[in-house]
Amino acid sequence: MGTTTSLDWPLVGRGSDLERVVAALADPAVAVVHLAGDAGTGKTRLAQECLRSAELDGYPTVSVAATDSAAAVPLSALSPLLPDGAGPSGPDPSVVLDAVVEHVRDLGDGARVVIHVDDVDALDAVSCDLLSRLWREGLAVIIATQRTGTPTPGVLVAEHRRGGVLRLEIGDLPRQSVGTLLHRVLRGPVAAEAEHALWTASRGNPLYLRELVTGAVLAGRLDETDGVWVLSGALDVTGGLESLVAERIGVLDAQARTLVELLALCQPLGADELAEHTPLDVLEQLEAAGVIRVVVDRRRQQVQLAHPVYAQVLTSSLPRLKSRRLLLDQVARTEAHGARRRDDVLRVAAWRLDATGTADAETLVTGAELARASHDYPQVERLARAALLLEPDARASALLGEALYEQGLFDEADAVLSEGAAAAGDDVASPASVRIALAHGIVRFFGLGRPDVALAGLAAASEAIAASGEPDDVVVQGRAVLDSMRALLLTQGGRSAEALAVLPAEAPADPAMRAVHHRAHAWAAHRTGDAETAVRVALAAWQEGTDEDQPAGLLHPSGDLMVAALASLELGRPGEARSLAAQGRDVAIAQGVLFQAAWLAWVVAEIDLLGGFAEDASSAFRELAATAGRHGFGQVERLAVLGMAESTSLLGDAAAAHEWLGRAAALPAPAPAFAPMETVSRAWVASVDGDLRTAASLVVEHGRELAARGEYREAAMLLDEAVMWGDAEAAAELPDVVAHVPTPLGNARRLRSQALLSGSAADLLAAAEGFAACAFVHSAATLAAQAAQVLRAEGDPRAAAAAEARARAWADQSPGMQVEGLGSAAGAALLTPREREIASLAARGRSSKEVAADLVLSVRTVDNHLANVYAKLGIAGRAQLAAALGLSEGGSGSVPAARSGRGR
Amino acid sequence: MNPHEIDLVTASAQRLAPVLPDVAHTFYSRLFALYPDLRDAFPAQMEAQEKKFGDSVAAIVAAIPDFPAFAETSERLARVHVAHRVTASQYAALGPVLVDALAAHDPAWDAATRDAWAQAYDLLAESMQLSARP
Repeated sequence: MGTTTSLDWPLVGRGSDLERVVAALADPAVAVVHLAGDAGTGKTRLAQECLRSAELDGYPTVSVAATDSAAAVPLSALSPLLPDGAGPSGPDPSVVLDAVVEHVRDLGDGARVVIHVDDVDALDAVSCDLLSRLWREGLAVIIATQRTGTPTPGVLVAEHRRGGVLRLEIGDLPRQSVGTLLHRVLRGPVAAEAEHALWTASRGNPLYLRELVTGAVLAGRLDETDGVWVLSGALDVTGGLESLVAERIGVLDAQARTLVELLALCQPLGADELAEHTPLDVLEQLEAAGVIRVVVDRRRQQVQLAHPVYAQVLTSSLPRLKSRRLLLDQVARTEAHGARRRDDVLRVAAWRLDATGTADAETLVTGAELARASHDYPQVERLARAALLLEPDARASALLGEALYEQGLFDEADAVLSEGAAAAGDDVASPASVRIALAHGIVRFFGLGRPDVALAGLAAASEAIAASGEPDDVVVQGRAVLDSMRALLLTQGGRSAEALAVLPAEAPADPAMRAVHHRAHAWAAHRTGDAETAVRVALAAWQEGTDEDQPAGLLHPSGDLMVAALASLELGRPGEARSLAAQGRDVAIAQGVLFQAAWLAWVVAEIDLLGGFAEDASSAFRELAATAGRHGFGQVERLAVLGMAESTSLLGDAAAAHEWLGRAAALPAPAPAFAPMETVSRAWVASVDGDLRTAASLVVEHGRELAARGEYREAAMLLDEAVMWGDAEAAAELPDVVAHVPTPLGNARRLRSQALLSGSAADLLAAAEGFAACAFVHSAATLAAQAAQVLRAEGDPRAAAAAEARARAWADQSPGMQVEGLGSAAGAALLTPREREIASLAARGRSSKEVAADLVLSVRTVDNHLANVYAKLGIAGRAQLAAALGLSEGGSGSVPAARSGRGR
Repeated sequence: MNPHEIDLVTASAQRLAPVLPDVAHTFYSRLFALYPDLRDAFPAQMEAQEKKFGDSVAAIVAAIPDFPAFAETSERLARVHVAHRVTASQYAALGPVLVDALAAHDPAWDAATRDAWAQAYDLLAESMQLSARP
């Protein structure tokens, strides 16, 4: 029974139980170990392990299984206990019984025989009596398993009263054990979403879990990508699962069967309501048998099937017409009760749809709105689609477009919204039309990656409202909504100064749309350098968005945490930044908004990278690239892949960095707002090759462009990179840019540029402090090490030692990454950019002639520079160059200067 | 474990790297306070033991993402503990003591980090018990 693959399923989470049983076997006071639990919890498996342990301890063991068919023939279940050649039947049963007892006595040879009896409730009375005799005469100790809801044999009850039974309840595994089991079975990490899906479906029942996992693996839904197991699509109902559930539920009479099927389709249902059409004793029997359970929800008793997997299996095997009848009957009952509760309209709509494939338009649209309020996008899609099949409806179009977008189906969302707009015609200022225009902007911008079309569409819609002749307040509100969205998209397009100009002074009155205004405000503030405002507005928006009384907004609230995290980083609070981003990611995963979750996962990884944890970031980027790839989120995948390129280059693996960069080229470009990240990644890879000139020029050029557009924070970040690589021009330009970014990190960057220009130890140390204040310890360490070099050269060894000690203290907090100026890279800090360039090429084995050709210089110039380099590094010549620069054997790895982490 | 949990544990372990002997000290102090009988199973002077403890933590955390390496490391650890006949209930009881010791010394501790460590401990403890079973 069940599917099989080559997966190995160890016994997990039962260690204490196992030990208690083994101890009991040696305890003469214990006659029976009674393992009780639901089907599939692993009682038999546990009993088998106990038996094995007993064997190894030298006990004689026997295993028997009671079945319903064996119960028809007394003693047949215990045939393994019968001496060879003896049969269960005979003229005098007591002769047979005595023979068995003697046989067991011989087998035991002084010790108790351990007898494992599976499903003891199905054992016939004669067998029960025999076992009872064996254990009372001290000849055997029994390990008995029994399914919940079955009657316990009288002899066992009696022994229990005598105190001779050790009873253990074997329940489902807790979540942690499931995590451990999956990791061991699949031999590696499992993506959070996959774990979540398997936990939700199995609820820790080992047998169901096993069936779900093997089914998913065989179907190719659960697959390993880049060292992580990922689930794509839903978990299937396998034949094995069906058999398990059928066996568990057992044979039911017609009434019980109908109730169970009804629950599978419509659960949870009120106990009072069910009692109206189902006799109470039927309900009670099913509850006692563990097939259904009653949950108290806000003082109402709700009935549901005992295990989520029952519903899944039952609905998949229910005949169409029968399910239709059950559903429509339930609809009638709910409506007869007045369909008062908030959820009822939604449920009725869904049931009608399930039953007949349609329902009335109003119910469907209202239901879809309710589904949207709980972010149940698959349900929104179902209901809205069904509504649109009946007639064009602007609200339904808007809802469907949103739902498709949230599930990553961008092309379809685009088509649906276009149709919706066309159907609305001249009615441009209605709330539904505004909503369509809004959703359309989002889909075009974020989904399809067509920013100009998105912005033009929104501007046109806004102007159409202005010209519509509708009353003032309608016009103002409609435009407020659309212009807030324009502002948001402009920020994502890297045009934040424009965004601030377009942003309406007042947020829209519609609470569902306020989030858009807040989001635009937060992003624009952050990117133009006003981090304080950005954090304040973003967190307020998050509070509003997650306030239970508020209706669901257009944007998922987790996005607010994205900008709050990035702005917190700017304010020198990386711990807070990471918490915010991780929180947002977890909320998005829990609500199934995978696209959003992917973006937030990227922010978390970026923060780790900035914090100097290149290894952590690298594994996070890898998982993200795999997940995003599976779901088709091309933009996030590209950023994750670029993140891999950068983190591997920071760890010194040039080959890997190039490979990842190559992969990125094949993926769609992200929104312009994220272009600076891309430039930085490319610059890092250039630096890995020792090509600092290209690295610096990439970031400086882009940085200038950003400054011209008013994206000051972004510009400051890029120019600071160039300063790290020793670019004096960038250092000269940075202060003007950073004047617009009055944040701790902006200040640190300003100090770094000042230190580059003056070269003074005091300035270097001030810059180090500045970065330390933002917890960017790697930069702090690098700057302090440089200060130590300068102080040494100035002949102040005490101050130098002090500076170096500070550098080491900071370096210790940034694991895996070398700090220039400490250890073998000492002295490299003193080289000018030109000297560094020449030195790195020479260290890789290029002759002076070749270097001269590479850089278009005279050989004499190259040799002059090299002489200076040797002097500064305190080495005799070329042979010691690689070691002095901290390059590994064979010239692979990066030039030390390149190892100053970005923003670290 | 999922990759996110692995990240949390790895990051926490890195933060704790300089103070692992202190973590060990806190752990053993609490252990002996809760289970005085265990004191005799350990040497009188605990410095070497505390250092070994720290090395084990570091090794295990580093190995988690690589299953063959993890299996080998946990098997090695298991052999050491089998000699002391550590029971399943003891493993279960010690988990929270260990996690609390980590919490006491990690400056950036949060609820998510606690859950991640608890999961990592469960994986390790179960793995050790599995390899100890013949």
